Amino acid sequence: MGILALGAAGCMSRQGAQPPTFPDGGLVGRSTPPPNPWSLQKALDGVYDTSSRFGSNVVVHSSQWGGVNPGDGMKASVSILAGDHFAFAVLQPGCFLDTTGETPLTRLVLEGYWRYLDESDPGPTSTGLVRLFVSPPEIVDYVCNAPAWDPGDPPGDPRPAPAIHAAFSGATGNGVNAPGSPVTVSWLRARKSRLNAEGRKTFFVGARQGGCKSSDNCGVSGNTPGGAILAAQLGADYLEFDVRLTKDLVPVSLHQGLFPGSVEGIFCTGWVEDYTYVELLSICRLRNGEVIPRVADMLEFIYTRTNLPTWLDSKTSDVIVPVSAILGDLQKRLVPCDPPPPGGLREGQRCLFPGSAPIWERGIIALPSSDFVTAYEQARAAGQLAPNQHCLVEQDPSALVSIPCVAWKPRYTLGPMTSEMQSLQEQGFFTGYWTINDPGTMDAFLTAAVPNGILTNRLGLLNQRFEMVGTTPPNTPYRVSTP
Amino acid sequence: MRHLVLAAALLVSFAARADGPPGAEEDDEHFAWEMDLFAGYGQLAFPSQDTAGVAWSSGGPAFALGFAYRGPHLTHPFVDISYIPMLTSAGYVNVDVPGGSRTLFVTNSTFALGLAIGPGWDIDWFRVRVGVGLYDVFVKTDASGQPNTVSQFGIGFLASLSAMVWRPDPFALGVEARLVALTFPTNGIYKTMWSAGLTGRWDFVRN
Repeated sequence: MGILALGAAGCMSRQGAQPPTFPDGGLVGRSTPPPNPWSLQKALDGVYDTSSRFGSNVVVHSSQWGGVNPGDGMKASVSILAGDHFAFAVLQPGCFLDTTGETPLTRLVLEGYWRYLDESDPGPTSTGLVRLFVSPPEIVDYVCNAPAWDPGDPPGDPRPAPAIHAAFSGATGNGVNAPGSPVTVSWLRARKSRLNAEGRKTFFVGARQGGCKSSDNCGVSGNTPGGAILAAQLGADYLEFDVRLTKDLVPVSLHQGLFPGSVEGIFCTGWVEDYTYVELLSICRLRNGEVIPRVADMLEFIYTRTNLPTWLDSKTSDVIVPVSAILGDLQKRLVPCDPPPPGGLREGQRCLFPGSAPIWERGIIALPSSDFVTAYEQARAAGQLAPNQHCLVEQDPSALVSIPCVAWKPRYTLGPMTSEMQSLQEQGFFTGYWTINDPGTMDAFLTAAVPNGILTNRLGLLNQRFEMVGTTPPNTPYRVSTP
Repeated sequence: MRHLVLAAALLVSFAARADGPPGAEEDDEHFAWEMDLFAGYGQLAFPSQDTAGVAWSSGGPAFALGFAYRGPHLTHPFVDISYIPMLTSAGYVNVDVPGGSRTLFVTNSTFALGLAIGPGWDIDWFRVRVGVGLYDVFVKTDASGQPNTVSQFGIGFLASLSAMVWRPDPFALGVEARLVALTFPTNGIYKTMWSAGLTGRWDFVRN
């Protein structure tokens, strides 16, 4: 009996699941993407009310990702970010000619999946398919008949925004079932500006480990390139991921040890530091089948396929020098391509994501304690850091000023620390907290301290709470903003 | 939930022993110290492995050494030291490195060494034991001739069922099936291994 019980208990372990998808690619699979991926932003972004599934005051957020290097290709997504159930939906747009009526009609369809994050495992009650059609025709025309964007162009859509607001109607479903529950999405108001009086962005949503932590089982693991794309889709403005060193000193991205639930593989036991990178490749996969990424690969992916800055959370102080060396190498190899560099790309060079800031503004090394601050200062004194290497401090703000770093990111359990936050903001530093996932706490900290950012695993929720209670800080943070 | 299932199973086992006939040996002895040996074959039971493209060898010889004290009470305490093989694999791994990719031949193996304690019950010819203990899981990897061994401690559960089919006093010989479940604090049971083989008992002290 005991043997049977142990066997049964072992079988109770659960593994990840990919989000549901439409059979044969759905309508989007038979449509063409909008000619300008940035046109959606002006046409659709706003705060809306939904008739079901997502509640009221949801944020509709469009994002661009993918890049302009060979084999990449720019893509756009539209997300619904809600407070109820910590819900989100990630949708892909497509334009097609509808010939089912008397008059052929261009239609803009959004298809994808929804997810409730208050249930940690996806199932028919916590995820499903979404199909929405956009109206009125003026909005559809604005998006589907936009002048095509060229990779050599600056990012954006130079046309003025449409004079009218979008509406969505369609249906959602449960699990892999076809969408059958009607839903309408109605305009409430424009999103709050996150620009200060100087026109600089001063409030940022931070993605901890990517768009979804591994335990939330979103189909992508935390600390992976796929997680970075999901973060961009869910409205992240910067990305935090963790850095450890393998036994052969290769920086890799993993939060903790090789623990069941976050990694798979019978031989995958112990810590990253116990193995060479080759050994890790041979024995370990992340929860959703990904390899544990090298930081060099991860950063190149993020810098070429998104515009996200990265906060590199050092788990041991010996990662500082090798990570800075990677950033130094990427500074040389990844170049702006809008417009393309004279003479074209040299061998080994690739294009940064259109419009994104240079590497030295995007690769910020986090120093979580005084030991790391000391190691960072010693490395800098020894000339071991990349030119213009930036850092952030998690504990003592005096180190922030003395080094200086660019950002202060204390843990929220220390309280809002409003006066310290405001004083540092006035000095031009970025101030933010890690890691807040609870809506009440988000509201309290957004209103009490008006921080530049909050790191969270609930990106949709934080975007939604900012729209409800947030205020844009007036001071320009020092070199953390994206253009 | 899984711990409740385990507890329920233990209670059923206990009740079965309480209702059954007393063991013949208990009638004419007050206590005995016994040594147990187990040798057999063992392998991973859960989770299952993807064998595509890799040469796998599941399991290998398993061993255990135990000591127990049998007194007048129907429950006897035991201590169990065991070696449990899990899995061996060999295969080629493509590795992306600066300058291109290369293919390496990699061998891996994993086994556990455990020390468990718990109660056992003799029910006529049969013996049931359940225990909890510390298990050190070893992983040996060898990528292109560079061996590396890593180990990690964890809590595990042991359950065994024996049938003592031949009992020349003060010895007994039989067959035994064992199941070990390894746990991790945040995930509960994440690996189970079974083994089966011969077991022997020697009452080296008794009155």
